Amino acid sequence: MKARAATSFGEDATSSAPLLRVRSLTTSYVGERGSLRVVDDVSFSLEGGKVLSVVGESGSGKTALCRSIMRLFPTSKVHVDGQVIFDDQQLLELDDLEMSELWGTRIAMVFQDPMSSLNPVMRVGNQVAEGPRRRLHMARSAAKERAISALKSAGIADAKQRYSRYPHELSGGLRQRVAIAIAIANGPKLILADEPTTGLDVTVQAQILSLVNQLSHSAGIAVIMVTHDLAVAASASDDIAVMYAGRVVEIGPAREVIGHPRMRYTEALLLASPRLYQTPHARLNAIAGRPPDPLDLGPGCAFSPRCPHADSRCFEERPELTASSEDQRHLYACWHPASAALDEFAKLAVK
Amino acid sequence: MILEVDDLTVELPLGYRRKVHAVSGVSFSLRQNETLGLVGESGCGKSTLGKTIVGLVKPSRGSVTIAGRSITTLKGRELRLARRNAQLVFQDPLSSLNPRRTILNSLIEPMAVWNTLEPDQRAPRAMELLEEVGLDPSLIKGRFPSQLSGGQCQRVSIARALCVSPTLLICDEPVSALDVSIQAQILNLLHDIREQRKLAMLFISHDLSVVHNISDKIAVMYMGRLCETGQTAAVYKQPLHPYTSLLLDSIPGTQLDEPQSGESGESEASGPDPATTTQPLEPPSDVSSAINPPSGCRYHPRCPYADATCESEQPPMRELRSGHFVGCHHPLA
Repeated sequence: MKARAATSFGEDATSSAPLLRVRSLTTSYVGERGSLRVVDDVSFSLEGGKVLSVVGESGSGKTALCRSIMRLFPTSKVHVDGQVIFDDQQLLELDDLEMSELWGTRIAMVFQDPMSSLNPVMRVGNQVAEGPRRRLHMARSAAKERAISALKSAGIADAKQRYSRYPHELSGGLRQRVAIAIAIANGPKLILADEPTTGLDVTVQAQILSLVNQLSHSAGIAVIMVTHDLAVAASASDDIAVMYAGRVVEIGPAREVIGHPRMRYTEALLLASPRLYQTPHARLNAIAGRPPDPLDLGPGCAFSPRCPHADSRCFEERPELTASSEDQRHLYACWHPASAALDEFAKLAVK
Repeated sequence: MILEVDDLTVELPLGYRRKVHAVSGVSFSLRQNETLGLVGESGCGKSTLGKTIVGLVKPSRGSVTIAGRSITTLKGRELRLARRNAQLVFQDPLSSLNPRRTILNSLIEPMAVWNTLEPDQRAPRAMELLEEVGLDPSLIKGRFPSQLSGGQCQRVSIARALCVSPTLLICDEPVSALDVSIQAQILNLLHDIREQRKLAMLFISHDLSVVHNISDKIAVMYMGRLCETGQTAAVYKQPLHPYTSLLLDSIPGTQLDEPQSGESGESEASGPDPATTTQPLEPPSDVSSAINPPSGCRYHPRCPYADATCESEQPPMRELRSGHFVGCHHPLA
């Protein structure tokens, strides 16, 4: 059951222990209709200074994965099994108080909608300064200094003036920058960003993505970015994990996953997205059907009902993550991985 | 021409003599069996333009003519008849359908409102339409919107728009709320329907890759004004307006569409300055807004090529290449 290959993702023999290790993480919602596995046996590792994008359709479990790592679920309703090792600490074994000590100081989160994640009746600067004051017990003036420098690092020009603004006075892009400033104010080592650019204009999206990358690479922060948009993941991350029905079905370096997708779902997603190298009105290769009902998953590969390459084995036996022969860091779970068709696709990708 | 929009201006009052300049002096036209993609950032007025065309918002100036009937001057019964030719498909498929009504009833209602068919023919017609948008009528007709997926709801919305056989279909962000795999299905469907019914389609979206796929012509809108229009391929290949160029450079993942070796044969989008592609990524200043639009060219506060002329004079739309118009004092060509 446990994929040995999966445990090796992100762990090079050359480097020391990575910052974050997730081992067979399984999250189930317990409800009246039985328990619902929203995250199923997910394993990966992430080093500081790297950006990992988690890509998937709605309901594929990407947000639940973040919340499980962050331990934002009520324990009575949601079971989280497996291991999350962050900086040699077993996060799932900490008690609530110990965990809350980590929130905002070592691990921070950026949410999708800054309008609802920011406090509407508090000046944005004070919201940034709140972290340093409460968590690092800084004096008011020192915390303000810290907040202004965080706002500047988040790319906000004239941070001093903007400090005393309210969220509604700022544009969507600026609000998301404030949310990022809050996340980085205490100098965290890990940031979980849940759809940080969804709902923003393309020009602003490009700015925010480059900011996230720049912060990650310069300050050595590990970033897990959840997105539904493969193009966003492709342009702004070192590694990509593709999720389908709660499982990671393909994971590897961004260029490999996008340029040479092996898992048929990743391939289908790429072929379904309109691309600029196509001529206008090019027929899109839509994926038939729709995402599976998580309460009604068969024993086989969850994508098999929609997959044009599926055969009886796909319906009966679930493929495990295995390493690609070309690149040991590129893992995929598929019985009939793309290979010949891949060349066709690669040709497409370079026109 | 199915749709002709001439010098359309919409100013929405805010009180205290302030107003939002939502749409300013927009002109374009749309033929049968042609799709115009309208792109721009949020708040640039693209949805207001769509609503004004069907008569949901009153323009302060200018005219809209659909299939020879003027939406802006007609009144009463005549206006109703003119509006029937234009139907809308909205962004959020779930909230644009009545949650308390079955799918079949939602489809019959527009036919009853317009009194198009004999009452006993309406249900069969609705079933045909469901079939046309790729749904199984017998399975879907008795369901409620909450029992359908987003993609299915969007198909129903499209079927509803087709109920009265419009000549113009206005789609306002029809695929923005859908997952990529479903988005492709809906885009293919819209394309097929337009071909079969020879519709004119106005496709409003902020997603430049989607618009590229579905449109014959593109109109780029910035703060209520059109700044560039032209054939899709031409605009994407060689944008003339600095704003269009910025938009295209911001599309995520485009670097993957280019040859990896780095021999960029096409990226010489020869502007006044060879360093066009590395425009500084600064947060745009918040001062200018549609309430208080900048003087001259509305893009000048953000434009790297702006000079004194741009600040004082509004650039007229000029046809620099055949069929390719741009409103800029310093076009990138």
